[in-house]
Amino acid sequence: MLLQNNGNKKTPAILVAQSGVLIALALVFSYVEHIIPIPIPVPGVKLGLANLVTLTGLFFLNPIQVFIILVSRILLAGFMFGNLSTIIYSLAGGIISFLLMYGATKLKSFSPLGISLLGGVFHNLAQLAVACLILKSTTLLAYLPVLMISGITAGALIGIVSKTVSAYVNRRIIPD
Amino acid sequence: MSSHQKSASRLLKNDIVLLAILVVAALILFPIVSHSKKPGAYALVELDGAEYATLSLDTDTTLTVTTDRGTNTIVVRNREVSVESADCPDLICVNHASISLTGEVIVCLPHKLVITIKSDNSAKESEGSIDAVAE
Amino acid sequence: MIRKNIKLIALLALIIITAGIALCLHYFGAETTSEESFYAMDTYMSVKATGRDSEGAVEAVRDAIMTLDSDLSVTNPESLVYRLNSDGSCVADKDMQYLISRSLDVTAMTDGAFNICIYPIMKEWGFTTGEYKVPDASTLATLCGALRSAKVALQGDTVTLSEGTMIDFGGIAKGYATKVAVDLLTDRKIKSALINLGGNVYALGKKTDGSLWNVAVKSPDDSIKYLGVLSICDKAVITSGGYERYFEEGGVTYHHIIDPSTGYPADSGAKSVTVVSSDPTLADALSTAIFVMGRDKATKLWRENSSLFDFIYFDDSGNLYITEGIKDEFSSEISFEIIEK
Repeated sequence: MLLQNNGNKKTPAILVAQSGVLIALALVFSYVEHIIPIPIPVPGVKLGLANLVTLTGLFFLNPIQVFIILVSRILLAGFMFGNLSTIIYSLAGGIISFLLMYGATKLKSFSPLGISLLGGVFHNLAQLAVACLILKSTTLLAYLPVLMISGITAGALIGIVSKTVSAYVNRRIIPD
Repeated sequence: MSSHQKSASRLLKNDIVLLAILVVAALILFPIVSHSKKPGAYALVELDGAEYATLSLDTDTTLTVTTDRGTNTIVVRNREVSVESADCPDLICVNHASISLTGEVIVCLPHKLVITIKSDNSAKESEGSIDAVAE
Repeated sequence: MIRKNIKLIALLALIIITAGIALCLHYFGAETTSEESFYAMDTYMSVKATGRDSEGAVEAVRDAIMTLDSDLSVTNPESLVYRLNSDGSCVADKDMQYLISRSLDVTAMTDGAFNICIYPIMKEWGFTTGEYKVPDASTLATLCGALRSAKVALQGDTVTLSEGTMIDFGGIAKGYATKVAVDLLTDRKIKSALINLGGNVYALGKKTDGSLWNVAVKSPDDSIKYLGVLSICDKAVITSGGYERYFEEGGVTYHHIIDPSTGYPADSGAKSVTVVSSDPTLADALSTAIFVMGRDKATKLWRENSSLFDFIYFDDSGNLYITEGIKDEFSSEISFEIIEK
């Protein structure tokens, strides 16, 4: 939290370089998930490795910078190994979970684990809502519980990893 | 930093409460969406939100749906419905297990195709034994 | 020697048995049901057939209709129809010869209520492109005048259009596509099939359980779902209604069935017309024609040709009429009057 204020001191060059590195990292995560899909045949079930960057970023960086990293990663990943509809789903899930996670960090009442849980679950709920809108059908709501459980699991895992990573990021990586 | 550490246990408590709420919500939703699953009577195929075809589970059938978005081949065999092949990018519909109980769904998001198993008494009843509609 | 012969005989027997089994499998193989759905002629189509190699049969139908769609397109510069409309003449293929001769027959039979030369008027209204507009009266009067003198001549395999004439098989193409489908399926020994080309239905043979096909006729308004149900086999059921394609301007609804004599949407009192016939091409053209002609003229036409077709007529005031020939096949929730010979 303290480091967020130090963000003001960062020169534009550092901001750009930092964002570039983090977008690249998030892209690698997206790619890994793309080539190793989870063998559960329900649309929307995934780990969301790239969310690790968003979540951890929220603790150290300016939220606007995190948002830019998020949207850039989704667009790039969409163009590289997705299509227009995957971009729409990812944007819906990504933006909603970003807003919720950002709100949760402001509340200061959850640890990274809880924030990640919220992000994971609402990412899936937003995608499901968009899918219902696009398909003009509510039959998909049958997947609701499955997607919630998958969001909880993925959110918990990412939260634990983020907590571990944060301990190191705090000391070493982010320049003052 | 010290205040942060002091509240660490409080944060963990909140996390656990949140986790419990979410898990309970999911567990409550499970029986609601999957209520009274029983063997279905027919499969409803919807395309872009509109009813497109109904396939009776009584007869083994192959239905190939071709739109400008792509092709899916739906197969009814032994009262079970599956997507045999498709040219969508994710192939989630093809990898999906066969469905046969009411309320079970196979979706192909890229092709905007939804297959739902329905029981005899919903909707189909009013159709009676109509095979086609001239319009 | 004997041993050698035994080997030879055994080998021959083996070949004969294998061939026999193969033949048996081919001719008495299991019957399957296949359904193919596709988008052609601006509508969703589906063909369901039961028989040996039903899958090959329905695929053949799909391919044939897709080809027909592009061949008969008025907007595709590669198509024969496009060339005919721009050059005024062309050498017709088998499909076009059939379509033109059948169209001319129906035009003569219906006193011009069905006319493939109506294309320029349809274009003026925007029904061909979806950019709807109400043309001004003088333009329509000129076009109607031109339509009255329009000539389509088929000599041998050459089609010639009179100056300024353009044609469109839109009012008959789905009927013809149905005929092509029926022919293909019959050639492939399919005895049970249901062809539904965007609401133009043909029931081939009987259902697999031996019962008749039930084809409902859609109601043009919301008060009831169906006008009634026909239990039929080997018949086409084709409906025309103003509700299929229309637009509103200045509070007036303009539908797509244009009366060739006025250039305006037909106002004969018909709301929905269904023609039932074993000839799908005729049924398609007549459903449009009867919608334009109205009940009295249609009744006269039917009395002269009652062996060729039957019809179901629903008018603006909610009255339902059917011709005598289908009185045993038709059932309805609402009351209807039977037109007798």
